[in-house]
Amino acid sequence: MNAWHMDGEMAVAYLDGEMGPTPAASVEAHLLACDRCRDLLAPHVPVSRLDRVWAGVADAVDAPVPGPLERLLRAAGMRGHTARLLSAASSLRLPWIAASSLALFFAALASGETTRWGLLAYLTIAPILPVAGVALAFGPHGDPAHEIGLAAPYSMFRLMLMRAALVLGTSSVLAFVTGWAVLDGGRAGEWRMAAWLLPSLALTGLTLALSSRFDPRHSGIAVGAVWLAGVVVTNLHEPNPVLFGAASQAGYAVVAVVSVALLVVRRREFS
Amino acid sequence: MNEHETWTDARLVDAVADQDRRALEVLYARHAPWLVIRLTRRCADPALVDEAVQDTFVAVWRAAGKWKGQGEVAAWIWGIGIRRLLDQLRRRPAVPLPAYEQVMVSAEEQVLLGIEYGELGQAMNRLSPELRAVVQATVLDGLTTREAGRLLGIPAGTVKTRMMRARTMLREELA
Repeated sequence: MNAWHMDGEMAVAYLDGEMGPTPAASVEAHLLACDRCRDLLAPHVPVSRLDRVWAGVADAVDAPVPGPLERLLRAAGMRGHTARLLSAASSLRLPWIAASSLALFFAALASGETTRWGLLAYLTIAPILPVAGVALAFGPHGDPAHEIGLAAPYSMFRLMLMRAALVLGTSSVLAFVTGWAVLDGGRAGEWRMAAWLLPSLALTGLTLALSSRFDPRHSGIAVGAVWLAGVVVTNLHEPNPVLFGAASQAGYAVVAVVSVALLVVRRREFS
Repeated sequence: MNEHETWTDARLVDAVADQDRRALEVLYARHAPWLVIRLTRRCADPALVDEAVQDTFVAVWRAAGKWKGQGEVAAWIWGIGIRRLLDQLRRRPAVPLPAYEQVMVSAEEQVLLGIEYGELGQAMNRLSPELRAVVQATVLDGLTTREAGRLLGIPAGTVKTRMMRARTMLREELA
């Protein structure tokens, strides 16, 4: 198709910049359309240079694209490595958050439907979600970066606390939003909308404190089971919001404080 | 050895859009060398050229889906490459661009080239280096007025007036 081609002499002249601007211009225009002449130039670029640039390309291409949470944390001013460590936890990933909101949504829906049991389903589920999330946010089973974390010069205790805070934060926001959107705040009674907050703090704290001795998964399951059992026993015959009453709330506050104290005392167990 | 090497550029870009890393590698092997050489003619600093070439192929990887499938892949890559070079230049303090300075050509060569490349070539060569650089940046490199201005270190308005002058001169030469 194209009768005009570069010969070796022209290629060298072009390479060395010894070609006048006009012929160089036509060479450049021709190069865009002719792979034969492009191949003529290729041997003149050192392989080592091309390999070095390619290594840079490969690095950039193979680097994982930061997830939405990681980008959010970085935008909030967190340093890159901390953001990545934090968001590695599976309970901080989108599927987990989606599953949590779905569970909350149905719990809230059920709570809105049944008049007799009131808000029970919603208030029961809301504190369990952060417990499950925290139980899976660290330790050898839930944390894909666990082994890297062990070897990294980074306090595991600090990492665990930050992840727990993030999990607690996301699930609290979810619970608030779902409660507000699905259950009409005024009709359900304002205070009850937040009645899950202290239980979720207490249960999460307890899970963390237990995790200083046991596998976080087992701690989470145990705490969750106790909570569920408590809810079932108190509501066996008729709806009884005693677990969310004022006395119980005070109890949760105590449990939360004691758990945090225990955590601080036993913080060395985590590293 | 590898089937990718028999593919056309267009097919390779489509494959790159589907995250085919091997396709990017073949595309790189085909297009990096001439891109290095052509960018070197625009900017003499090899470190900047290397950065620009690297950025170009990372951009190819990320933006392959945006390629419309029309025209030459090489032209598309060049369009990315020259703009990445501009980005590099913007980040550094001003560097002289010897590529746009006049290359000294002996009188004998000038005549030979003039014969070889006809009237237009002669006319082009008779343009002042400043005018020719503007023609080169806008017509050949496909840059906008503003981008050409940035590459040449002159205001966009100057690029426009020089381009106009070059056009008039070429018209007179060829009339």
